[in-house]
Amino acid sequence: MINFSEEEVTVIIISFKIATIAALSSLPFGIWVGFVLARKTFPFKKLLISIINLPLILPPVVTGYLLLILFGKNGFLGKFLLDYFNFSFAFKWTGAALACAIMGFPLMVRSIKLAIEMIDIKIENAAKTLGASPLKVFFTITLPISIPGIIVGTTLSFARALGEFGATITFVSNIPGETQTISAAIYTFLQIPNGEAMAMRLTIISIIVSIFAILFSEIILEKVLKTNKENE
Amino acid sequence: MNNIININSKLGTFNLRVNLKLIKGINCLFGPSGSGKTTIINCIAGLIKPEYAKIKINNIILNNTEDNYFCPIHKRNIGYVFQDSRLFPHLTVIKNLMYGEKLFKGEKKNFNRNDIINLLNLEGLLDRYPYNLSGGEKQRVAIGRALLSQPKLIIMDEPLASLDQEKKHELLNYILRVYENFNIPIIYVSHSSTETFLIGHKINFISNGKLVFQGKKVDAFQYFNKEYNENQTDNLLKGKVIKVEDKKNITKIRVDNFSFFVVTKNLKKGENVFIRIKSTDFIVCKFKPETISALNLLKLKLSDIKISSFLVTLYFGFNKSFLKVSITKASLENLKLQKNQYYFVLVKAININDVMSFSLT
Repeated sequence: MINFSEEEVTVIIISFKIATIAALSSLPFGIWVGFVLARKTFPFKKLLISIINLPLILPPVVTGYLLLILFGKNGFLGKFLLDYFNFSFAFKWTGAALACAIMGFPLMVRSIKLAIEMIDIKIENAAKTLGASPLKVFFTITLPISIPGIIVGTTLSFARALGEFGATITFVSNIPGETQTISAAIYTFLQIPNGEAMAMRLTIISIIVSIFAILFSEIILEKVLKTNKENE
Repeated sequence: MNNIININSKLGTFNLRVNLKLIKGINCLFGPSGSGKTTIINCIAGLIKPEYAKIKINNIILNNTEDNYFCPIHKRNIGYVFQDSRLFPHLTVIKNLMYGEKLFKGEKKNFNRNDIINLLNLEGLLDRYPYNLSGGEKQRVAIGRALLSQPKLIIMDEPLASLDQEKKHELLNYILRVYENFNIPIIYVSHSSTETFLIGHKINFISNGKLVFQGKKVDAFQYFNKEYNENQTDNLLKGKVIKVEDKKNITKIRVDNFSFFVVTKNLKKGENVFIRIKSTDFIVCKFKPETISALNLLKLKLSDIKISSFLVTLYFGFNKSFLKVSITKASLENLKLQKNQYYFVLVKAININDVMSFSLT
């Protein structure tokens, strides 16, 4: 087994913390946006879809820079948050989570939207005839049936967050113990002389971590699909 | 029971204009596909918002365009059994059954869960998921689920459509049992004449978005054979089972002065039945065929010939009415058929498979 150094442990914990918070905190928005895109028609819907998908196409550095402009200490939203809530994303791990959430959001929305589109609206109408209000229908029919899609979306967002580099480093820099993730640490080691060995250790760790993350989500998905026997 | 169902709506080029009165019993909406039957019930259930409607069930107004009132679906308290059952795929049968029951806030006095499970014979299915059920089982669960939501009215939209003949029979009996046990008004939509006449107490004929006839079964039967069925290819006959030959796998049914051999199971001697024979299933012969496999051979007098663009319909005198037989123009020319002559009309027993027993009540 590899003996982890203290720095390595810190880096791994930060990476996981950022990816988990990014995926989980964007999940409610992901479900909401996925539902709206799957079911509602409204003007400029295509434009909204394009904006949501923007982080997928834009160079991550650009996304990071835009976040910096918006949420930096002198940024439009950053100043507002600081003045009224005494809260700032700048150079904090929360900022990294925000960057990761935005980078993973298009992937999350895409699979949730697909799952909701697959649900036959007739089934929901049947629930209404049995006395279920639209809200009740959403929580007892729509949401449970789309659980596999929600899990896939969350996993994709989490995976994207684990690998995120460009937007994070641009927005919240590369501060050991605060915003330095596995990828940022590898990058740092590659910049210093004789850092390759450390970089390689982290590379192996990141491969192992990724494989475990994917296996974990596959197992959960399989369990859900087994109990959610709707795939007929 | 005070019910008003008055709908006037335009859907694209289709005009729906009906004024229905429900009786306490099984109200059938009968008509061909596309005549507007399903649209009517969807307006009643609230799945469609019509342009103009005044709908009142059990003295409760559900829709009144004049007052700009439209009661949302989930507050209507109308049970709906869909053609495709629409069970919730992620819930077991028992959870499907309890879905509407849990949502009903009032006193659950009419429909008790155990009674319904017994009546519909659902005991052995409770822990299964819908994908594990047959078509007939799905529909039974759907009926139970609708009943447990404690409805004031049950709507059934072609509930037998996806079942085979034998299962149709079985489910119809369940539906009749539901009516007899709970005495709840039912709207039953179907395009099958046998089904309609078998189950309906009051029959409403819908054609092209309009109500063309409404009446009790006896009157409706007359109307059906005299006027409504003019341009249809069905012969709907009322008969009685006089002989069941299990070994030969055939059943003999008497229809007034004539009798038919049919191939069907589950019939008992003495039962009243409706038989539907498609006019296109008959063969016409000028001379009496001697050795032939077809079991039904009738000697009938040709009373009228109607030629349409596609088929020729022959009207043979049959009891006090007519038997409709369709042939091609080519056959008409070959045989040189003439009015008021006697001909032999044949139909295979196997082709008479739409036979449904009914009680005269």
